[in-house]
Amino acid sequence: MKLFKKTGLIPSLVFFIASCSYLPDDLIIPSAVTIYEYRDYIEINPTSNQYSKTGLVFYPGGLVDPHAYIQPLSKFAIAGKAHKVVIVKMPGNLAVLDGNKAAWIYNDFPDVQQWVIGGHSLGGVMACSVVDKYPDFFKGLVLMAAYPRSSTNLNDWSGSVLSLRGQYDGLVDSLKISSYIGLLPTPWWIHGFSDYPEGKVPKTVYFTIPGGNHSQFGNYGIQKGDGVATITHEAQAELVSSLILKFFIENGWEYGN
Amino acid sequence: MATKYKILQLLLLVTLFVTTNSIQAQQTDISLRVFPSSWYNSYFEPGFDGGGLCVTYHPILNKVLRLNISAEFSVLRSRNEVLLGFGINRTIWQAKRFRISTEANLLNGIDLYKPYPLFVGGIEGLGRFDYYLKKKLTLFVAIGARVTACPGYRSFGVWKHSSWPITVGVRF
Repeated sequence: MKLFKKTGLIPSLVFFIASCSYLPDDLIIPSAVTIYEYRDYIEINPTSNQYSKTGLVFYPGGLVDPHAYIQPLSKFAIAGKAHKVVIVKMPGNLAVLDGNKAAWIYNDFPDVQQWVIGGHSLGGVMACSVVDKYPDFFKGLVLMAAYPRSSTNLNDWSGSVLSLRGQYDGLVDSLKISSYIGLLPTPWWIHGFSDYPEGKVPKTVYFTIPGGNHSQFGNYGIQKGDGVATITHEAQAELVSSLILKFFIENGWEYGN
Repeated sequence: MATKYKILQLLLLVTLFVTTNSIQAQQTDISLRVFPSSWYNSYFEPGFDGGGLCVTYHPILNKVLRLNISAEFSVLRSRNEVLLGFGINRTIWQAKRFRISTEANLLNGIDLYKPYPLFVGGIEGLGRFDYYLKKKLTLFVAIGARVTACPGYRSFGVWKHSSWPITVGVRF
């Protein structure tokens, strides 16, 4: 044991274990989408090849394999008028190491006219940062169990924000989200689709997913420290997809405005 | 007091490690590596895969041959990787202040995933230039080619990578 301590084997093992990323659960990809895999990102393309001119670029959560988001985001890719979704691969699966990547991806997709950025957990934090850095490039921001860091102020940003959180999220509680409200555009809480504000008004719409948790925004099992969800992964993904679609429709992005 | 003792102990250990290297004809490298890449799976697309830190131990076999035993931790595009390398280094040209050599390494390790890590295997070949600051202290750069594969990741996405590792380090 002493030898292990002296040679630094124990700290190394702790470091390696802390660097492990969550692997996705089995991938079941709907036939209505085609997945293209590249070095830097995963592209989810509606098989019909007909889609809205507004795309969604997405940052995965910290130490979560990007493939874990294919299944839930495929639902949004085929929802409504259908959408191009791009999941960015991060170095070491940590968005903090390449936070501006989304602002350079547009070159590869000339048929997408405007972008909304989304992120889960640490991915959401970095999505806020890239919006702060390139405010004119993104039209909207979708946060899944995430909030901006204190150095990021999007309060007067002209875009719209959708902030989602699971009711039983054991990692990001409502208090944490509330304490960063001042860094996002004017808040608006909804409890269902009927409360959703109509029209394109720059504001942050907050919604708590009843029975949802942190891990079910992706498809990688249960993250350590997370609460137990009372709805299925499928149900949470379905609800998230519908809410993002509503967000697109109300902001006029669904039909390429 | 205990902290002072530990610092002293650590200093002694480092001193012993460095001096025994010289006595027993073995050397150690510490290097930083970056991985510009070219192919992944069967697609060609130049890009950048990430970087890492490598420690290599070199028992000297004779005037031209050395063994390489290395441990490397890399932060790469959508994965973290630990590789243990075993290979051989051959001197091509030795002058007073520099040495040019080639080396080939066999790589085995893991991609760090939960709930279980995935095996990674690979090979690499490098050309290396050492510049002698002192008799037993050199700065070096190495450039080469590397291919790695992680068969367990095949069902998810990119599982074969080829890159052109660029290494900068110090040997003592």
